[in-house]
Amino acid sequence: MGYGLLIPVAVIVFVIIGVPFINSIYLSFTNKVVGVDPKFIGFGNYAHIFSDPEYWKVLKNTVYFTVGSVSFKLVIGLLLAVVVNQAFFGRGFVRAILLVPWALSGMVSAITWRWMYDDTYGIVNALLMRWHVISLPIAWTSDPSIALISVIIVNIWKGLPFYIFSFLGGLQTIDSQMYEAATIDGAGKIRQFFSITIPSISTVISITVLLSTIWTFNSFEIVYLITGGGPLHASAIISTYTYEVAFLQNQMGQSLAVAGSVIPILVLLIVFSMRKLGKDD
Amino acid sequence: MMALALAAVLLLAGCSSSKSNSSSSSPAASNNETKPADTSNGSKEKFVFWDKGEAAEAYNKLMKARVEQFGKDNNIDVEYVVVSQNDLKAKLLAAIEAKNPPDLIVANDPVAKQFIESDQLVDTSDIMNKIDFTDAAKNIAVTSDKFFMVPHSLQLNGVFLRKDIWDQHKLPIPTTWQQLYEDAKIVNDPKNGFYATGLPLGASGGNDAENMVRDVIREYGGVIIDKDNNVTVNSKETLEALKFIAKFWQEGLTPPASVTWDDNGNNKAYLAGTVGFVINSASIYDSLKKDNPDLEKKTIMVSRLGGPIGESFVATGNVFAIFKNGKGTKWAKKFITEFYEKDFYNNLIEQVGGKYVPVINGTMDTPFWKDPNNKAAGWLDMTKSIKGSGNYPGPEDDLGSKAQTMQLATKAVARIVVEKMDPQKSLDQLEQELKQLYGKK
Repeated sequence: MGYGLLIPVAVIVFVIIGVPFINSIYLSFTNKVVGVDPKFIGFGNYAHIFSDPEYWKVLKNTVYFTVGSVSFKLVIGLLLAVVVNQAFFGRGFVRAILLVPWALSGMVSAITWRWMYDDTYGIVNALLMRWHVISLPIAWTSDPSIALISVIIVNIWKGLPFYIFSFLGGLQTIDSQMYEAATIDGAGKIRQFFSITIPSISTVISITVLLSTIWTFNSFEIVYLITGGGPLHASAIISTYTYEVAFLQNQMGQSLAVAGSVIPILVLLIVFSMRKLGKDD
Repeated sequence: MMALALAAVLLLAGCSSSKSNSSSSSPAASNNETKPADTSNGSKEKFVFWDKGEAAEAYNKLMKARVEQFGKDNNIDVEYVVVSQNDLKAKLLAAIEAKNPPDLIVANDPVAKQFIESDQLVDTSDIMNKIDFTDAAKNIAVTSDKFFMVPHSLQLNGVFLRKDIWDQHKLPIPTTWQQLYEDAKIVNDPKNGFYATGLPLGASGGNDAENMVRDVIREYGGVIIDKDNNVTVNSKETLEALKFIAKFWQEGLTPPASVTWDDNGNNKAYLAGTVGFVINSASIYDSLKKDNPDLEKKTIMVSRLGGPIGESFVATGNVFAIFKNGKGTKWAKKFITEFYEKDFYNNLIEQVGGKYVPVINGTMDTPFWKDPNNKAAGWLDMTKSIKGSGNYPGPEDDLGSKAQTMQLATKAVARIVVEKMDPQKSLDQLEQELKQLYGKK
C-alpha cells in the first residue's frame, strides 16, 4: 500500500526530472545542433572535449572557484556567526545587514559588482587610488590572473549569509552550561571553540558545506554577468562554458557532453550529502 | 545537473517572450495577394514577429503600431515581441528546438545567416526581385548566391572622438590607425581615469570587436578568406595587423577591462567620459543627446580610419528573416513587402535619427539626408568605403558568419594581449581554427 501511494510522486519526478535528464545524456552522445535531427556518434563529443585544453582549463577553474569560494565562506561564515551570536547593542540590525547579499537578486548583485570592478569608472579602483593604495587601476575583470579571484570574491559575498545563518541556528542550540563548565575547568575561548562549538555544530557545518558546494559548482550568473567567463576562459566555469558551447557555437551535443562530464562529481556530492543527512536523522 | 539546467533553459526560453504585445481587431478590406484570414471557425490566424530592441525608442513604437495596423487590415492576431539583440540567438535556438519559432525576425545579418545551414529560413528571392534594393543592401542579404533574408536597413559604425581632448593637445583629427596610435600615446591619462581609446576585445558573441579586428586586418592588406574560398589568413600583412592592434592594450592605451567588454562596453565607457575614441553605431549620439548634451558638443564623428592600404570595412545591417516552421509565414512575406512603403519607411529612418541607412534606391534623395546640419548624413558617405560582408573578398556564406560570431580573429588578438602569446603562434592557431571551421586541410 505504502509503495502504491508513492507511484504518483515517482511518476511526476520521472517525467519532470528523469525524462529530460535521460534525454540530455542521450543527446550528449549525438552530433545534435539546433534544428537538425541528432545522429548517434558514440563517445565522439566526449573524446573531443577531453582532448580540448580549454575544457581542462575550465574544469580547473571550476574546482578553484568551488573550493576557493566554499573555503572562505566556511571560515568567514563561522567567525561572523560566532560574533552575531553574542549579545551586543544593535545585534538585530547587524544580522539584518548581513542578510542583504542573500536577499538581493543574483543579476542585480552581479551587474552592480561589474560596475564596481570597472577599471575606468568603478568605485573599487577609485577608492584604492584615492587612498593611494594603488597608482594605476587594477584590471579586476580582465587580468587573467585576477579575473577568477574577482568572481570568487563576489560569490563569497553573495553566499556568506547562508553560512552565517545556518551556523547561527546551530550555535543557538548549544547549551550555555557547557561553556560555563569548560570555563570552570580552565578552558580558554579558543579551546572552547574547538572543543565545544565546532563538535556541537559539525552536522550543520557538513550539510551547509555540501549543499553550498553543489550550488557553487553549478553557479552561473555571477561569472556570466561579471566577466562572461573571459578573458579567454580565464574565469570560465563549467556552467558558463556549457552555455557558450550551446548558444554561441550552437553545438548542443558537445555542450551536453561538457555538462554530462561533471555529473559523476555532482552525483558523488549528492550521495555524500544524502548519506550524511540520513545518518544524522 | 548541468544537463538538466540546459534542458530547462531550452524549454523555458522556448516558451518565454519579452515585451510581447498581442492584439486583434475587426476585419478590414484588403486588396493584396494574401486574402484576409477566414474567421468562420472563430479562431484567427496569427502573425508572430520578433523585432530587435532598438536604443532609439521611436523605432519600436513605430514598428509596433505598424504591426498592429497590419493585423487590423488583415483580420489576424499579431504578436509583436521586442528582443534584445544579445539574447536573440539563444531565444531563437530554444524556440526552434521547441518547434515554435516566430514567423519573422529582424536581426543583425551575421546572426540570421547562421540559421541557413540548418534549413530554417524561407527563400526570399521573390521579395528581393520585387523591390529595388541598393547593391550594398543586397550584399548583406546574400549567402552563397542565394537570398534567405531581406535587407531592412544598413547599420554602419562610425568613429566618435573627443574633439576637446584632441584640441587641448593641439592634435589634428586622426585619419589613419597609425596616427590614432601616435595621438593616443599623447592624450592617454590613465592615472586620471582617462584612456585615449575604447577598443573592444571581448568574446561575448557581439560584432564590435570582430568587425574592428577584421577591418584593421583588411586595411593592412591581410585576406582572411580569398575569393576562391581559401583560408589565406596566415600572411605577414595579417601578422602586422594583429601586432599593431595588440599594442593598444600592451601600451595601456585602452582600458584593460575592454578584453571582457560586450557590445555595450565601449558605449558605456565613452558616455562615462573615460575614453576618447570609440567605433560604434549612432546609438552613442542618441544617448549623448538625451543624457549628456555637454559631452555631445565635445564629440565629433569622423571618417573611418585607414591602414597602409586605405579604408575598408564590412557592411553589416539589419535583415528580415522568415522561419520555415512558423505558422504565419505568408503574413511575414506580406508584411515585408508592404514595409518599404515610401512614407512609412522614410519616416522610420528619420525617426531613428538616421542611424539606419536606407536600403532602397531613391530613398536617400530626401531633405533629411541633404540637410547640411544633419550629422547622420555622414553615414551615407561611409557606404562608399564598404568593401563587402564578413567573408570579403571570399564568397559570403553561413560559415563566414559563424566564424565572425565565434570571434576567431578577436581571440587571436586577445591571445597576444592576455596570454602574451607570440603573435605568429596566435596567427597559426587562428589559421588552424578557420581551416577546421571551413573544412579545409
